[in-house]
Amino acid sequence: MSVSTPLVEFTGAAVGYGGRPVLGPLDFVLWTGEVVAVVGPNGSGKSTLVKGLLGVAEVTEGSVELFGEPSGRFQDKGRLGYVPQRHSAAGTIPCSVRELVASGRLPRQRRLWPATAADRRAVDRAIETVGLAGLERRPVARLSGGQQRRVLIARALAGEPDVLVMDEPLAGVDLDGQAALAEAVRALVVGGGTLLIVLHELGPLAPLITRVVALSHGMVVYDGPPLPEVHGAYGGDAEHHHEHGGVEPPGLGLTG
Amino acid sequence: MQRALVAAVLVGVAAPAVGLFVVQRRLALIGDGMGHVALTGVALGLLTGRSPVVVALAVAVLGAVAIELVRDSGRTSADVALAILFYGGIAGGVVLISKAPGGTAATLNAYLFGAITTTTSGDLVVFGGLTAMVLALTVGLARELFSVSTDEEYATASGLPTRSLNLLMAVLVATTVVLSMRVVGLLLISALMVVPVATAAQLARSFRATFVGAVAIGVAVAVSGVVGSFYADTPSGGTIVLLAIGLFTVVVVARSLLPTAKAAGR
Repeated sequence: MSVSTPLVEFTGAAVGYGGRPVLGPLDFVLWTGEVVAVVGPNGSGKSTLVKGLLGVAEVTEGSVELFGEPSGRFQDKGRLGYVPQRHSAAGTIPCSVRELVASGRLPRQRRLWPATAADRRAVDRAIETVGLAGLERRPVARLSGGQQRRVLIARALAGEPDVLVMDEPLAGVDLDGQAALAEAVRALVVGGGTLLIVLHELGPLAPLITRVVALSHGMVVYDGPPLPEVHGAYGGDAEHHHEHGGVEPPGLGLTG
Repeated sequence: MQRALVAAVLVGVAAPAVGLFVVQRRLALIGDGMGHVALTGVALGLLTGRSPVVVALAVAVLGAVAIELVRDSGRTSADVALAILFYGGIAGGVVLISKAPGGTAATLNAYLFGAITTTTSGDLVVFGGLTAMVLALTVGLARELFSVSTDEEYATASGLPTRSLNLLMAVLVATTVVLSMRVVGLLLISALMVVPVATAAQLARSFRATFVGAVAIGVAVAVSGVVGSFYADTPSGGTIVLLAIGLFTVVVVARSLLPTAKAAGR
């Protein structure tokens, strides 16, 4: 694979549910090493973009390619790590941190084969990276909201993905939890990962973002560097909004 | 009595093993519905003179696949479709059994509420085989089933064949229902799939521990229920389920009365 092959490519792609498109048709490309923030108001299609990428929502028009292959035929799902938006990571039945994180290792494991030492190490590393070392055997339900969110990040990392896709990782997490999460994400960026993060506002992740894609009503209205105006519109800083009073989220006129 | 005990052990193992994933998916009543559908299978078997267990298994599996496809379609009318399936199953079974040779109210009762003492050695061979299959699949595919039942969307995103795994789970439930028919009866099957799991979940700190605990509790209540019903001259199904619920209640009460244990992070 040449350096110039995009990791993800949407070409005239529309994505939706039950045959009804909610997003697009639009074009979007993700390159290696980027940290892309997908922003926009509720209902703009941010989560749908992510779900279309991951094959969880239908591509009703156009094409989505993953690592150069059509998404419908793409088999190596371990190359994509997914951190979904979840109110709580715990299920009805108790499960330990390690068990939940280990379920993220499955795409890299042989079917019906016990976990190898390499598998175990990958799970350990994932737990360490998010700062939860020592809590492997704790039931997930007994963790704080922020810690549970970090377990979900670790789950995505256990598969050693090339691209990490996160859907509103900071939503509903208190400020301390957000700081810890931002630190975990920073460690990933520093480690050279490619990240696609759906965000309601840039918040504590702002310094890490290399590119912002703003959506409105299912279409891209801005796709470029995190300039101050964009930062002000989506940075989540109330004062900024007052200073840049004339800038509205949709129609920034900076498309391109 | 010996055959009854063996049947009890087999059911005590299989029901919680499958029930664990059913409860995790928040489909705790699916076994109930499956039992209703199985009744028509039993009736067809009696009517046609074929083994009721085998025909019930075939009908239950078909019903399970239908239920899963309806659930998967995500249509809001799903609960109505399921209700029709379930009540059609009971009604069909009741009507057909009345027409079958040897189909009396007593026969109906035996299937609805269990008649463990009528278990034959031939039945045990079939039950043994089914239990072995259920256990092999729930243990062998535990990682995949855990992922799908815990977070189906994530499982799909990570490349697991979610639809096939859901269908497999439906077939496992159908199998367990038919397996448990003789011991607990079709009306109480869900209880044996759900209550030992709920009890173990009160005490365990991991999924694996819940699995082991649920199976241990399942076997314990099934065996003691059969023994108890023998001496107290009560129906085995009801006795087993009452013991299971009794144990669950004791565990819940004990946990709430031990605040220090709770605070210590159990």
